[in-house]
Amino acid sequence: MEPLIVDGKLETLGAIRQYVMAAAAQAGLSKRRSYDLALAVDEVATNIVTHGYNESGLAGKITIRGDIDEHALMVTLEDSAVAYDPTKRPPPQEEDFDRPLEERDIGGWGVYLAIQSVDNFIYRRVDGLNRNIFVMNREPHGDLLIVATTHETRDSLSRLLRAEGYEVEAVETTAEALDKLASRPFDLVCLDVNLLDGAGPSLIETMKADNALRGIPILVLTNLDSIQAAEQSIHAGADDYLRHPFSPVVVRARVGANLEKQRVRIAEAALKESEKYERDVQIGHQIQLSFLPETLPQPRGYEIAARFAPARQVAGDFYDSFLLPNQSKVALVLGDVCDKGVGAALFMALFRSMLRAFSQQNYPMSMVMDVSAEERRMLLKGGNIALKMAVELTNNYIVTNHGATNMFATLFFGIVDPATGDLYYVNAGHEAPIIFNGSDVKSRLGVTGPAVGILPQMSYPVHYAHLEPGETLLIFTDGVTEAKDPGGHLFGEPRLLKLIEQPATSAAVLLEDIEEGLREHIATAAQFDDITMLAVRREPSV
Amino acid sequence: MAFNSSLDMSDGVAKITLDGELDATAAPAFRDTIEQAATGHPQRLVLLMQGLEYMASAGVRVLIFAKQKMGANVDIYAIAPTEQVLSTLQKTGVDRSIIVQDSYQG
Repeated sequence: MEPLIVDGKLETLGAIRQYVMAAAAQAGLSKRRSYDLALAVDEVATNIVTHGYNESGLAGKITIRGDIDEHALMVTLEDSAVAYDPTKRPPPQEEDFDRPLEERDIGGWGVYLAIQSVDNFIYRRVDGLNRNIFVMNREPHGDLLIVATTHETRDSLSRLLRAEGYEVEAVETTAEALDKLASRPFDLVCLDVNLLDGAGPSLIETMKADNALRGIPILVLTNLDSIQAAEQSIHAGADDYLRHPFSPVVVRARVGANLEKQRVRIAEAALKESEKYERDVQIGHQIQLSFLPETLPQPRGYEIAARFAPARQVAGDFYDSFLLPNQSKVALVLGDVCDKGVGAALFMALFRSMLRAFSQQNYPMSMVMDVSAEERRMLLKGGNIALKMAVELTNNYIVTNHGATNMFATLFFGIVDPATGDLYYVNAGHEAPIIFNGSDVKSRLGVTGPAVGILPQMSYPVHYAHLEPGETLLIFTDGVTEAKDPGGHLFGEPRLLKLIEQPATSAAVLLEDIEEGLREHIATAAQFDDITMLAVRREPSV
Repeated sequence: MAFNSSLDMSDGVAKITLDGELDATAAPAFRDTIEQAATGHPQRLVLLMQGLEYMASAGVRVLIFAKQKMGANVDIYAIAPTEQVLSTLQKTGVDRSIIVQDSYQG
């Protein structure tokens, strides 16, 4: 917020409070905590005006500034009056609170109030200026439940705790308390000792037996002296105690300490959970790698290479290459499951396994219905029925059995005959692979059918292409063309085409070059999508 | 909002209605009203706080002054303070020496 500069005079105190209230509203502090902050700043500003300037015969300004970040609102007061550190003033002692009003020391309460009212107070003397910093955390302060038999106890403790900025609900009986605890989460329970000895299980026993309530700290409200009270609360299974009559200082300290302990417990549990998750993801990563081929077939006169860079530990992309049963033809598969993370990885494993299994079966021609004469001729070539059937059966299986998950994949499935360079393929909604020779793009193998796993009973016609000596087939996922730089700009196809123009000596080098170009482009940006590439290079004839 | 205090003396009871914001600027006016009330030697000081939106320690100091001025045997009543004002009375322990009530009959 823009700083406010006012004269160091009593008349400006109202403007300072208004500035603080506006900052508090902007930071989303509760009404109660906004008031407390305004009070704290007002008290210190009053000190600056009366002691710092007026009594010293000085005149000067007060600068006030509010800074809001994710966690806190910080209000800074700066003045050029005589040096004065509020934190050096000894706080009132417990007996001062009980002293009759007329016997009290009149001074010191303002500073005490100021420091009591904020989450943190810091004083610095910087370049001849007093700098007073008030910090209010923006986290919710805590929801507390008071269970007490008398309304005096409920009222006095509620008032005290609300004064500390807590949200407080107060009930009379164990049954009401259990209703409240079931209705919404509470951070701490204050329980009247008189409710421990009733018939049936006590509230403490019931809460400790309930997984959802077990961790909530319980403070017993007691009349006993300290040692007896401590023994009583420990015996009852409570975390701590508060003794009548309630002292604001003790209540603040005990409730604060128990809430803090609880927060640490929750944070530790969350950390443990996330470590466990990390381990699970690591295992998932290892399992996923086992679904990718350990080695790629390298038929004579060809080089096959692949690159796989998941955006996260586990990915929805996959590639595969294997020899078909007659050992002469090579299957090339590259897929992209529509999501990322663990869910996508599970489907990636399923798609990959089904395509591999279904494509290695023999299918009679009678299984293929409703195809043109031309397609029938094409299918009769060895392996091509298996190619079509593998995609169609996988599609039907996913739609029928996993339709509710809305998971689908785009994929390219090709079968190449190394002897001839004939390439039969299905492109199910995938980025068009590129066949190129040196710097010339010869053809793009565009989409021939819809993505797999969306609609049942889809037909996936087989298409034909040819790989001449010296030509390379590059299959890739959209993680390549859609990789973003720190400014959000896509890598784009033109850049990819430019990279493949550079003559590469091998498929592996080509993929390395592309990957390097991608890394340069992404630079410091987070990799958003999985990046997967498969390249098949037919060596030039000699 | 500007501070305002008005005094009503009857049957040995000094009733002061407080309105607005009681900070260090306003405290002298409140102190004047207390001094004025003290001249009537009341047995009881009743502060009607419903309209008091804000009270800094300057207000607490005037309460200490009131007790000193009027004598230990004069009870001070704080009637219907807002939650925030009450919290200042509690944080400073003033609520232990005065009587806090939601309403005042008489």
